[in-house]
Amino acid sequence: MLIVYALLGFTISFLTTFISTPRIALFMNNRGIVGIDVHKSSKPKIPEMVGISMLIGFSMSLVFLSIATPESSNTYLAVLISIVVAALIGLFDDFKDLSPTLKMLLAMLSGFPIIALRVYNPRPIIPFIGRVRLTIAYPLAIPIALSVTTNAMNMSDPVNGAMSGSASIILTLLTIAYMLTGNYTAFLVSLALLGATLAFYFYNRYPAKVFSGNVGSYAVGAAIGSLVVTCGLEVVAVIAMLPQILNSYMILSTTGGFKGKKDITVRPTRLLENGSIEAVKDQQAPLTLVRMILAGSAKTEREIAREFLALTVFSSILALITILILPPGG
Amino acid sequence: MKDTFWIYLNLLIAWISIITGFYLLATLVDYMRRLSSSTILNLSEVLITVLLFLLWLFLWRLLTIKLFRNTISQKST
Repeated sequence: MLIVYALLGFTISFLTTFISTPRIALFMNNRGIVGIDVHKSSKPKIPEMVGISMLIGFSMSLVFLSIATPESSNTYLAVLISIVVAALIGLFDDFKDLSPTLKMLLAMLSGFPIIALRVYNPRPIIPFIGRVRLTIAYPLAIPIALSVTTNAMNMSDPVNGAMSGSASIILTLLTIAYMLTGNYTAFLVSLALLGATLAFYFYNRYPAKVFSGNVGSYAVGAAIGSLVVTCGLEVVAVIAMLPQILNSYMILSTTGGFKGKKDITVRPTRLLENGSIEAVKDQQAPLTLVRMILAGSAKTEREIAREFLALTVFSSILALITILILPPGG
Repeated sequence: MKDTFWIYLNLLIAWISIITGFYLLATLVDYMRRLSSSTILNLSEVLITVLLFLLWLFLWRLLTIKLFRNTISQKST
């Protein structure tokens, strides 16, 4: 029965997102909610905030799972509310362009449904150490963890398909990890979340027909964060997200803290006349993952996106190896 | 992939250092549990973890910037 629920959860999430994405894109296009694809010479206008379709996909599949397996409905509900809260913050950011500090603080709110519904296990499993009891520290760390994942995914959307593609890879890894560790509730949730990101990647990959907007990247970040906080395997998820963490950490540390796009005077990359992109050599420019990828030579946007995903596959393989060194009982 | 090899190397070093850090922490905690009372021990465990994490962040930043500058300077020559 588990396989049937897993497949249905995935299919509902995938199909809902796959069908709703072009419709939402058309809606956004008709209302002039478009963004310029800056990495292309023709500067095409692409429908923005279409990531709402993933939110619909997540919601439909989680509602299905809570009907199919009501014993875990609190977990599904907590994950769903976290995603909705993060998506609303992203939506607000899309319209109001929030300051980075405020974004970081507001993203913490997405952790509160998990604390309120008490669907976390304050005993994370750590390699070589085993289960550690963090009765007080764990709930305090949940809003921070959610803020980190939402902002990390939000900052990891520089080229077509980078965010949705890397989220799909991370969720695939987590699905395998939960299956291997026998956590079947988590397996159902991660497979359901994977359906939406995979369907969205189909439209968002190079050359992108849609942009997710902050609403989409926040929802995806909260989906991964809330899944891990409620279902465990925290260290494995951190390893899988190393490229996204490296990207966010280096941006923050080389720009001297939380700064908006307007405050960064030197751009990290520049579009060349032949359509390829090169890294800016100015030391004042923020050190982003894309700038690192371009450090050796100029590349096309397609090559950058491919490299971005290859790095996530590499870190996911490292995460998979990490599962093998987790103490038994994880 | 040739000119992005350093990023893979960077991620690999980060992963090895995280795993080694956990191993060191496990050994240290095991050693300390034999020496001290549990209350002081829990506080010192947390402090050591935080200090190790901050040290790791600092070293990872240094390594990334060093590798990046090395790669981008080779491009200009």
